[in-house]
Amino acid sequence: MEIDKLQRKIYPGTVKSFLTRIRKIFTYQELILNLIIRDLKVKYKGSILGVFWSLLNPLLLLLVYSIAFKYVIRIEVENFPLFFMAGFLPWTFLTLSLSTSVNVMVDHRHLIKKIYFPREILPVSLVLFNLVQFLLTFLVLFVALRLFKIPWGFSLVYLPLIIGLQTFFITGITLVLSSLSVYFRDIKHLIEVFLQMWFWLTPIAYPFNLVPDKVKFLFKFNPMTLFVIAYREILLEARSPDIVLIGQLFLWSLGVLLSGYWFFSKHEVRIAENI
Amino acid sequence: MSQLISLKGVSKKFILRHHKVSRLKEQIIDFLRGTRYISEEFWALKDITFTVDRGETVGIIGENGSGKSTLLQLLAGILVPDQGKLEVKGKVAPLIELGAGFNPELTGRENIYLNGSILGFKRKEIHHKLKDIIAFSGLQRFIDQPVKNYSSGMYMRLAFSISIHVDPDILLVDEILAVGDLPFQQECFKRIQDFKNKGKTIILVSHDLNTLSTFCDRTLLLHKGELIAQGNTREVIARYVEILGKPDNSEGVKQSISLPGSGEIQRDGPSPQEGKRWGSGEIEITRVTFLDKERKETCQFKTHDPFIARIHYVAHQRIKKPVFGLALISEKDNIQINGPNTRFDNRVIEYLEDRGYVEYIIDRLPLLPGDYWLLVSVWDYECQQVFDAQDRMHKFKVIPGGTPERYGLISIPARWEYYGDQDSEARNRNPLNPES
Ligand SMILES: Nc1ncnc2c1ncn2[C@@H]1O[C@H](COP(=O)(O)OP(=O)(O)O)[C@@H](O)[C@H]1O
Ligand SMILES: [Mg+2]
Repeated sequence: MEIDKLQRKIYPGTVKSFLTRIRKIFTYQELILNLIIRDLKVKYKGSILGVFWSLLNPLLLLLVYSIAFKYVIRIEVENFPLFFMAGFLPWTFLTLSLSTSVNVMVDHRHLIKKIYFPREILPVSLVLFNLVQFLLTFLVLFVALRLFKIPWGFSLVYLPLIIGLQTFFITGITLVLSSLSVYFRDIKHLIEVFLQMWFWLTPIAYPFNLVPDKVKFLFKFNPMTLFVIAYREILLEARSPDIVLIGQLFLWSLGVLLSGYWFFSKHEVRIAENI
Repeated sequence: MSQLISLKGVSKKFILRHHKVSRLKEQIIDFLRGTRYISEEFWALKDITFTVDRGETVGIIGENGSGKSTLLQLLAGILVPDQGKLEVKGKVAPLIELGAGFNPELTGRENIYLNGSILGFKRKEIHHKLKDIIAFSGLQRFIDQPVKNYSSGMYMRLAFSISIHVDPDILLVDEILAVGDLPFQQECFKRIQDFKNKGKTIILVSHDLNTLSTFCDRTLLLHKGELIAQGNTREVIARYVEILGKPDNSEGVKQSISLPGSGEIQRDGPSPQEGKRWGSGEIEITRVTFLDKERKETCQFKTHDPFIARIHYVAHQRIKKPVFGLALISEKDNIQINGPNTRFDNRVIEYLEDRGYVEYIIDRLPLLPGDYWLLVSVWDYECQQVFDAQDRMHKFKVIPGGTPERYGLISIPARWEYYGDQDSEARNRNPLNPES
């Protein structure tokens, strides 16, 4: 079986070529699929009710923010619910992935200690599980776009690209966090705080043009700002993101993914003995 | 014959951190203060060299902590050697050991799928085998229940069944025969025998010398991480018994204790079995060390020295309110000296997870010079279920020099008073309360 050959060769923890690693992951697609299906099963056990609950959280937040913006902060944003969702759903993809990635190794201790398989399967399948959920919520957003009669444009062809890049970006971070979590169990508290700060530094609940001009360039160092801008242009304005924005997203995503992989491969051999 | 396993000068080290789980916060504080984080290296295996051919059944023995499980984990590819060359050809079955191995929240069926896909089987292939796996395990009625509800026997049946049906080349078995009732053990033997008959390669770790002599063509003896003997099973066992420094009494009667620590050791009748280990394995006692007043590891104490027994455990799942117990036993005449446990001391451990240790601390060791055994055990709160009990597998020595006393077993903290006839004042004094 092919896995046997790969099993021991790649283990030494040297920085193997990125492509070898990708290939290795593909040989384990069955395992990844199994892990994702299992997670989905657990989450949507009560089927309809499960789906309902997972939608309830964003809807409640939406309600709170809508009221706050309309009556307290008094900023008028056109189609606020859609505006908010176009930023908040990709954000949720990020936060869910990051905050669960710090548990993924410990939760699968029983597998890690029992047999060899490439350890990155765990964070990767976690990100893919969250991607599936993200896509499901996106379906709801599409229905809403119809209801609000927002025109769909050619720009939609960019959507898979942006989603793909965001998935790479998130995978890179989860690889780092999941390997760190083996050594530092309290990293999860740190992550919660960090995500809170990051949320408010990203124009999700407010429009980017409200950011003072002087610090706008600083905000653009935040890759999530770039992602949110891209999502909004594509979905709400039927506008294709310009080439500079796409270039930046490419650099961020691949940069973070590759450094994440590099970090992970340095630490993966010692995961089993430390959890 | 083709060689499946080959090790050349393989060594494995662990980094021991002094906190169970290091906290990032503490590390940052340590870093700011400029204190280096204390960690020490520990070589669990040193310079191991051996080979195994296809179709061989090889046993591994050695005292607790000698590195047997570590070696199996290296063979399984779970751990990676720090030095030397390790080659394993062929497919390795999931490690069969106590406690670990399944996700307790998932059902037996789901665990089969998960295990199968790790081994590279497609969903369809697993589907084909599913019926056989379930039938072989004899768990038809329980297969859709979460594994956490399984008894350790059921657990093992499932583990065996999966391992055998994925048609591996190499089967690794770690001390599973120490638990379970007789029918279960016999079933395990049967499974191992089947596997052997098919010409598969088996590596078997066991404390049970009879099992080893029955199955193993060859046996390796590990001692403190070193491979000190290998070859003919009988000869290696003889060497092992010699190291333990006591006669082979594996014919003796097992089961001697009823309550953690405090239990009675049956003194009449056949002597209880030394070096015996049993329990259901949810918590395992991985190592017992003895520490002196500087908290340095030692096996020698003087009477009235501080004495600490540190019991390292690993909890394979979250266990609420476990009770640790121990007993000190004098080696010379097998007299049990005490039998404390954490419950008697009102030390409630809310729950255990992961690795860690508990310490039993005696400020002034009352034992007189001689050799002593430590029996350790860990139980559930009601003391109904034993997770791991190790009868006389750990030993320490009390050397002369702490007290001139030399009769009996212990030196009780006490003092003498002398009352001469002429001292009437002293006569009226209460010796237990001199102030009055
Ligand atoms: N992951 C680990 N981290 C630190 N020390 C470990 C780890 N695993 C095992 N050890 C230590 O290595 C030694 C050998 O352990 P082990 O292989 O389990 O012994 P055995 O199976 O022969 O009883 C023990 O002292 C044990 O405490
Ligand atoms: Mg062991």
